[in-house]
Parts: sequence; C-alpha cells; structure tokens
Amino acid sequence: MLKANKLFLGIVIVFFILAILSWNIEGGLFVSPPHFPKPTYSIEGNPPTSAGFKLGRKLFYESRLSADNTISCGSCHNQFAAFTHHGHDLSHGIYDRLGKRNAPPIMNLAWNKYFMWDGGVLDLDLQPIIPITDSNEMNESLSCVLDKLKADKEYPQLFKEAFGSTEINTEKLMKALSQFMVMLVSANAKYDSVKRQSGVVFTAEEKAGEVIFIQTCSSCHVPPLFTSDKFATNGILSQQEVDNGRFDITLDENDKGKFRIPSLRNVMLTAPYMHDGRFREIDDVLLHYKKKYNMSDSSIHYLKSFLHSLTDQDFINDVRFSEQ
Amino acid sequence: MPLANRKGVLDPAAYKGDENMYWGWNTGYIFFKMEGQSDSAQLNKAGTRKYMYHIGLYGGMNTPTINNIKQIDLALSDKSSVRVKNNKPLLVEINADIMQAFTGAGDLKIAEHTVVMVSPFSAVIANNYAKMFKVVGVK
Repeated sequence: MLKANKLFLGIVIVFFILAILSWNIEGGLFVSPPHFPKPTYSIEGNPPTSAGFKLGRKLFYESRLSADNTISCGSCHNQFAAFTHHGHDLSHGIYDRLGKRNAPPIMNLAWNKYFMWDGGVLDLDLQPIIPITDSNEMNESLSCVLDKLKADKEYPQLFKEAFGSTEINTEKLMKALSQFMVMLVSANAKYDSVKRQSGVVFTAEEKAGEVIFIQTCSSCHVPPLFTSDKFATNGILSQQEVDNGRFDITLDENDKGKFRIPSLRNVMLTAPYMHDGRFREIDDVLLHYKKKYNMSDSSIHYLKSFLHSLTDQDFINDVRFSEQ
Repeated sequence: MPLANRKGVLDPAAYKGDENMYWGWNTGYIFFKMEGQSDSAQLNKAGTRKYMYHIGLYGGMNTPTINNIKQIDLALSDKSSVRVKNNKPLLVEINADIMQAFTGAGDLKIAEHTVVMVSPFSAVIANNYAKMFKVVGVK
C-alpha cells in the first residue's frame, strides 16, 4: 500500500514537472490575465524568454533604429503616458517631421487583430516596419538597421542568447520587438481588482459611471479590452478632412473617415485624443460625446469617475518595461 | 504569411530605399513599380514632374480589396509542342514590352494619372502589364 502510494506520488510529481515545462515552452514569460480572452498573437510561435524580452526592450529604446540615430520607439511611446507621446497631437519623427496621426498606446497588443489607426497591418511582427521606414517617423531602411546592429559590439551576442545564433535578420529583429511588446499587458487597474472580486469595490460614482458606460460606450469599447478591434467614425470629420482612415486600406466608400476603435484602458494618461490628437483634454472628448448622445452633466461626471478606474499604476511603473 | 517564411526577395529588408518592393502600411508586396520624369506629368508639391506607378493589392486578408494578382499563360511558339531531350536545359526567351503597361488593355496617360498606387485605376495598369510578356524564342 505504501509502495503504491509512493509510486502514485512519483507519477504525480513527474506530471507536475512536465506540465510546468510544457507551460514554459508554450507561453514563455507571457501570462494571459484570467479575465481576458485568448490572445490573437501566436505566443506559441514566439514565446517570450528572458533573453528575448531583454533584447526586445533594448531594441525598443534603441535610437539607431532611426536614420539619424536620434529617436527610438520609446521616444514617442512613453511608459508614464501608457506608451503614448504625451502632449503631442501628431507623431513626431526625425528632423522634427510630423506624421498625420496620434501615437497610440502600446499595451495588450497580443489581443489586437489590427494595428495602426487604419488597420493596414494584421501581424504584430510586421508592425514596427512602418514607423522604422516612414519618412515622417524614423525614415530608415530595414537593411540599414540590420547593418547597424550587426556592426555593434553587443547585439550579435544578445541575439545569440535570445535566438541561438549571432546572425541578425528581419525575423529575429521583429520577433524580439514582439516579445517585449506582448509583455506590455495592462490588466491591473482598479476596474480589474473589482472584477476579480478581490475585496476592492467601486465608489458609488464609479458604479453609476459603469452603468452609463455599458449603456452608451461599451458596444465599441468592449470590456475587458475596452475595444471591439473594429473601425468606426467618431463624428468629428469635417468637409476639409484630409485623412480617409480605413478607406486608404480597403478603398470601400463606407470606410471613409473610419479609424480603429482605441482601447480606453489608461485613457486618463493618453492625452491628446482621437486619431489626430485634436482633443487636448479628456473633458473635450467627453463634451463631444455628451453632444452626440445628448447626455447630462451628471452622466458625464460619473462616466469620468469610471474612466479613472481604468488607470493601471502597476503598468506605468513596472520597471521591467522601462529603459534600463 | 509569418515572417519566418518571408525569406529572399520576400524579406522586407531585401532591398534598400527606392528599390523596396515590400509594402508596409497596407501589408503586402508591390508587383510592378515604375517611376520617372515626364513633361506630361502633373506638377507635384515638390515642383517636379515625376510619375510613380506602384501596383500591388492581393485581395485583402480580412477585408476584401482590389486583387491585382495576374496569372498569365504564354504560348511557347507556333509549333505545337516543345520537347525536352536527354535532360538538356531548355532556354525560353521572354521579352517584356514596357509600352504594354501604357496601352496593353486600356490607356494609361501620364498626364491624367501621374501617380497610381492604391486607387481603383491600379487595376487598369495591372491588366495592361499582364499583356507585356511574350515568348520570342525557344532553344
């Protein structure tokens, strides 16, 4: 009987170890929050490792990704502002060139089906090519970036630690950046604590705001990611509007002026707002929707309280995500 | 297509600068690229008369778009068949007539269409260049 127990215990331990090992291989460092859906990004195809994540972080803050070695991804995606460009309405490239759209937050990208405001990119591994090569952003060619990294003293060794060999190519460069970016998960706002029933509760105002939010906003800004990952007009286009948004990708007249619905997580930190950063303050945005949906002052007040509960202090203060 | 499969000419880093055939902002590849100066071209903001034709679009992944992928059949010769003998290599000579890009199926006038990339007119140019290849000899 004792022997059988020992054997059983041994089998259980072996299974337990196997389970841990396979979990590590499948997802690496990445952990999907329990209240989130299944990620869209193929984590199994590029599981973040400690070495890959660190390399991706170094590349994210690497100014040699730009033509004149002045700006990095982190230049326009500041952690304290939920990885947006605080105070900048339009993206800001080398030689003070301006793009035509507002730098969006980098968070929870593992769940995106579409990237960029117009959804022209469908794979996170291909996204960084746009800001690197756009003449209004980093204005650099991928082959030059690869040449610069190959000539560096540290990078070949770091690529070896992450991917097994000192060779540096497009695939490894993009996969390292993706390993860093998929780890930027924001799922620890007050909202999340309330939903996890961890003892934290909404104030009366936040609760009232949530009710209004669900009625008015949640068909586009669907919890828990607070976006439907679809495209919509927000009613702010004028006749003089020069940006056709989603139309540029699909050439469908119905898509004129449509942009990807942004997540509202950390929205209090991501001013200015809208695809062109035209609204400086959250109050400007709320006023726009107040008119659009004919809402009362008190509704807007409660809504704002609720939006505050989406701010994730752990995310913006996590030192793993900061420039080292 | 995952990056792991994008090697050789499909590698987004395969070409430098203007030669690049990878399309980043609306992910895909440019199938046909022709640029140059022409007195007929409309004056652009930089004050030059430069025409640019970048033809791509493959039909879209999640949302249907124009599909400019062309499959063409080329007749080998007037003779009914070509035989490969004793594993000897066969040389098929194909000429590309660039004028067909302007006249092949419909008219492309530089004065009217100075820059064409993703507009519906790209389909006209794609239909044109599909007619540019011709087998001129088999040895």
